[in-house]
Amino acid sequence: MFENIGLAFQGVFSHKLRSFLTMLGIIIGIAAIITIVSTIKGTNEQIKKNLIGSGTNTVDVSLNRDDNEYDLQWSPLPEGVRVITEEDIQELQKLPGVLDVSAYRYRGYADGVYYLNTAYSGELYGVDRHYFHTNNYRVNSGRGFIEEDFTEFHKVMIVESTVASSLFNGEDPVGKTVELMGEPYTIIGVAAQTIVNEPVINNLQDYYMYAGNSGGAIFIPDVCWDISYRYDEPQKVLVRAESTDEMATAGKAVADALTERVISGNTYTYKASDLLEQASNLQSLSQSTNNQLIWIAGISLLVGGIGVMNIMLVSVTERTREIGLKIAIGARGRRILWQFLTEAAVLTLMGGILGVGAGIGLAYMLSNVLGTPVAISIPACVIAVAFSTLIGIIFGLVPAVKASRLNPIEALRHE
Amino acid sequence: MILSMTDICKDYPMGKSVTNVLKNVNLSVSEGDYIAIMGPSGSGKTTLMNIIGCLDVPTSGTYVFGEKDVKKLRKKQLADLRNKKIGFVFQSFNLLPKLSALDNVALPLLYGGVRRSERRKRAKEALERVGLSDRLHYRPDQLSGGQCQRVAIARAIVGNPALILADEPTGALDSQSGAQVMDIFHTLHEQGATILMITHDQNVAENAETIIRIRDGVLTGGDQNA
Repeated sequence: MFENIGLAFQGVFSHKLRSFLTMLGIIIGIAAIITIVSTIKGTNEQIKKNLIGSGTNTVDVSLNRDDNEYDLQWSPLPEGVRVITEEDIQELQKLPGVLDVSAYRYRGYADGVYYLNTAYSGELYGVDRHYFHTNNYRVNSGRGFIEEDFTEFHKVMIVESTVASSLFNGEDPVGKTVELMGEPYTIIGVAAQTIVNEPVINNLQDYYMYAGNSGGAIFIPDVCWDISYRYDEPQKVLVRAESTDEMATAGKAVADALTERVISGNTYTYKASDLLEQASNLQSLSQSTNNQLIWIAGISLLVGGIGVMNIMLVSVTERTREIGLKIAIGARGRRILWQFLTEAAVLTLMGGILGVGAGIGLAYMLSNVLGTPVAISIPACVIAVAFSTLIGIIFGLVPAVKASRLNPIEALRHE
Repeated sequence: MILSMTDICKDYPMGKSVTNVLKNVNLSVSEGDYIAIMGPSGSGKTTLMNIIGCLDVPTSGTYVFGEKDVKKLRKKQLADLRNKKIGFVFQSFNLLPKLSALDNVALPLLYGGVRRSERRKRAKEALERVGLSDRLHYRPDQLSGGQCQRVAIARAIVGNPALILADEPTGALDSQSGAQVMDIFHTLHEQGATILMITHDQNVAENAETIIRIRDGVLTGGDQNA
């Protein structure tokens, strides 16, 4: 066996050009697959990082009606759902893996918010006591919300630092008065989210996905929301897990407990957003084109395999006398079979290794030129090399069987 | 008794007719024999050689090698029999061009499952017996024709076979190298080897103890050489 492998390597190196040309199909096929797989993996990891890894370990829990997200903007609290209270939150905080929980109301585009004669067009949040801690906000100037703001219904407002620069032309907003639905609110502080990982944005799609609303956000105590907007709106819930690994379980635990506590009937449920599902939805967009590419690479491998078969058949013909002699002096058919199978396998094994190398190189080159992310998958490389070796064995089979069945008398007479 | 052939016939279909290449051949070889089978080309001597060497099977008749009826052996067993009991010497040497003399000689032992160190030791001994102990690592293209044939003889004797089967061993050699090869056969015979040689050359055949003539597929008895 080891003699066979040694001889096979000798054979490959003694015909360098021929061996290389034979391998070329395999090299191209494997390189293409490795390039695609590395790019897919890189893209997927980036999507996951962007979605999950904003560093806050937060999960959205939102109200669903019959499995569809219930649009809570400008909608009344639906039948059978009650408002989430501070007592509910305190119970939810005791769930395993949960660091903090916050219930809030939300407008994507706030209506009726003005500073002097400028209308504000960003997001508006009616938040509870826990929101800033849960969503990892830090108050940079002024103060945060205090207990009295909630118990005394203080009409106070905290703005994000982006709002501070857009709505107030860079002046310090603390102490300024803003009109919300005709009522004056006093700005008490400027806050910003402490972001651990900035999402990586490669194109416009990513920008819309991750960058959110550049208009910034304004926060008011949720107790004032009802006063300004006149009716109870359903709440969204934000869960901050103790670690990234616990995000899914913590989110689900909170959602289930909430459904149990505040909802009667089966129409409405609270559901945690599944980040991995979101990620896979995004991934499936690019997946279909990539699948086509992999098929094309597969065809290249098939052609490469046929090339190997062809060269092995030539090799068997060239070495007919050698085979005849070996059979004459007592080599069993199986040994001849293995000799040629080993040669084909060694050939495609080396092709596979070169292909993996070329594929990794190509992936990084593409990454430099097009900015696509790259992540090398070790299992994929191992499988690729193993698969190319398998191709050698499969396509080497016909020539090897042919060699092992040669008639020694005729083979010895072969010129 | 090393081998015995009884009423061996070999037919080859030639289009619609059948050519009888061997007709009722009877032959027996005992230990220590040195036999030359002589005949012109087309006499069937190569076919006979192939059957004796277990590379071909007779159409009819009984061929017993050792104690075994060759007809009853499977392909694998035939390979083992060729490997262990028969040493082949061909007219055109049939050495593997990329292997050294030593590796060429060791090849049958490799197929016989002998360990590597043992293979090298025995191959070296065999090359010493044919006087090539100073050419162990030469490849065939670095050796003369006579030396190549001596390497081939070393390969034939390395497994201590019951029978050395030589097919026109001097056919591709000049007379001096041919004489050297004949000397080696002579020495091997004196050491007790059994040799069966096929040739069309009277001078070569006269080196053997017994000459059996073959013509049109029929054996015509043996002349005893002194």
